[in-house]
Amino acid sequence: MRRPFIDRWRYPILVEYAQRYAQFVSGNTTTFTPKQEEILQVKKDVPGAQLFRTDIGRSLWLGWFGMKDIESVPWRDERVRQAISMLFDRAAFSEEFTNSAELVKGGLPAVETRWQSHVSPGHATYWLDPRKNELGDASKFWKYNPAEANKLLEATGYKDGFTLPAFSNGGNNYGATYDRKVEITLDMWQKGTKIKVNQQRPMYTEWFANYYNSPTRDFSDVAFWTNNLVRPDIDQDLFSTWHSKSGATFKGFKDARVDDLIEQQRKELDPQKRISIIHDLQRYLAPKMYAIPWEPLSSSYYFRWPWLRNSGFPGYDEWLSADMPRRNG
Amino acid sequence: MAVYAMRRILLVVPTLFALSVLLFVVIRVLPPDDAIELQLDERARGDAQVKASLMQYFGLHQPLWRQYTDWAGGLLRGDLGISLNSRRPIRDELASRIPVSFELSLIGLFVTWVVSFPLGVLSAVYQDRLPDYLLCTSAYLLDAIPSFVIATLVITYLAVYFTWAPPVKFTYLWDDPIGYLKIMLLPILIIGIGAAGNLVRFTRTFLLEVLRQDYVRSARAKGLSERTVLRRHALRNLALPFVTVIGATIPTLLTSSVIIERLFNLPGMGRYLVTAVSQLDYPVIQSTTMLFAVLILTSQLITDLSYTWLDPRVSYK
Repeated sequence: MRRPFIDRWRYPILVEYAQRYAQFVSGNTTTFTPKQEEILQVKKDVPGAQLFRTDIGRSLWLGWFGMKDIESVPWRDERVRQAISMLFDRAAFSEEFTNSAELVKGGLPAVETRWQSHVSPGHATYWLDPRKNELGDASKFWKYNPAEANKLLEATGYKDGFTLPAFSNGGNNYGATYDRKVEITLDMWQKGTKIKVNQQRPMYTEWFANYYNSPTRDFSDVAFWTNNLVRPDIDQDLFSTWHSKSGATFKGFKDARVDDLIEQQRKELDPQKRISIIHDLQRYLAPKMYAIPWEPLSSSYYFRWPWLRNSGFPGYDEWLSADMPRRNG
Repeated sequence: MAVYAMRRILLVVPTLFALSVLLFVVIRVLPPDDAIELQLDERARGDAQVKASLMQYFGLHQPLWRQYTDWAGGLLRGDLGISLNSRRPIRDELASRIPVSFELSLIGLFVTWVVSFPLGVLSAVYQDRLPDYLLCTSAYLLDAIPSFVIATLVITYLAVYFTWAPPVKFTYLWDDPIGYLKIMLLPILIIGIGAAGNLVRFTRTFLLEVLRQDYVRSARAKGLSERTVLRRHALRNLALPFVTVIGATIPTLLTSSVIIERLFNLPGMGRYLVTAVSQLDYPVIQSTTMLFAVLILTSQLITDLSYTWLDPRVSYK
């Protein structure tokens, strides 16, 4: 099939939110992703625009622990790690950042939210849902329960808490929302227990080289937050995050059983058996809590003008129809 | 006058030197490793060899005093250095940006003058009456609200109520005057009117002071009309303080342009500087800030020297 030549290619880079919004409303740009709390207002401002809901992303957000002095730090004990997970109110956190209740009140379908196990919910075939107790008894560690967390801390000898230095990227390249998410999480950890969080925000380079991408994780008394980008096949994610030989991206504790399960699923040719092995891996990792599954993943909304055709069909070329205002402007 | 001018110009030299040292030291508080690391592709991050070769390429491996003399020497020769991010000479990158910022600030200054002078006079003439109250309140409001807030509101409301937004693609005045006007009109008005609040109040205060002078009373006693008194006797004497204040407004306009350029997506020096800050692009931050400093010092020098031209009674001994 013969296709016309491209007349022009316009890709405006608009760094300011107000400008992005104005250009979309005026019909100069095709797509706009508003802040979650402004979706209803934008819908009112631009009634002619179409609203799309995204799929759940394939990222995995974790809080992981330093390995230095691991024999003496409080989180050498899995019960402490379980307690830290139970102090994180995933439901409240999710509502804060998705604004879901307001959206439903405004007549939109609810935001879809999935809680991470130690596998990204974006890998829907393999992922087990902690909210449906698919992780067995260990699903309870995903539920917000400060009373139970305190009992666990008491049982481990940390009744009076401990200081937990928590590091996050202090550069501004992760955006303001990341900083807010970290602050809220750390606040949750301190609420209702005697754990004292000592927040530290090194510059991006130090963060990246010494903590995020540190093969030995040779730091003490720290926990970190960020995401791992998820690759096309789950094997790469499982290996890079949980296998002890993966190098800089390893976020777990050295555990022969974990390594073995990852290698087993790698060699398994039967899809059902492979799924079953990965389920076993998640059920094994759940009580171990080598890293804390962080924020629940959610779908979000974005707007597009109806004159952008073929929109939302991956793999098909989008095109601008003749009724686009300022088509030649 | 010539001696004063010479002395005044010579005073700029140590000021610029002190400023360059201060600027250099303050920026170098951030470790150069961070700056280099930020420029690297994710895959190259953490690679000590790549980092070391880049440090060497940009001269960041040398002792601080050497880096300073290289940079300052380059500035004197018109060489502003090389951007860490784009690896291009900063002078070339600024060449197309300087006119944008210049036009924004200078035309903005003109708008400030055109708006504030007549309104300030009007406010003084109608002292303690409704127009005065309205103008003073508006002036206080303009003074209190930062220009970026006004700009954000204007951009948003124009889009919502008139489905209009300034064009995204920048065009230069000589390429497309109408397109240029569409892009630049709003930022110029916002920057100009935003700075006018302060000047309206100053003009009003100065004029009220002048109107209380003996020579104005004499002019009125001679039977001259109020309009003639104002035009011939009062306004002329307003020129000197007005120029002083408008000279002091130039730095405000230049610094406001940094934010306004970003908000309106204008490819000027301000946006270049803000982008460089987020990328820790040392040479660009240093050289562009230095250029801003030179512009501000030059504008103040011109303001000072214009006193004698405006008021022959002023002499410098």
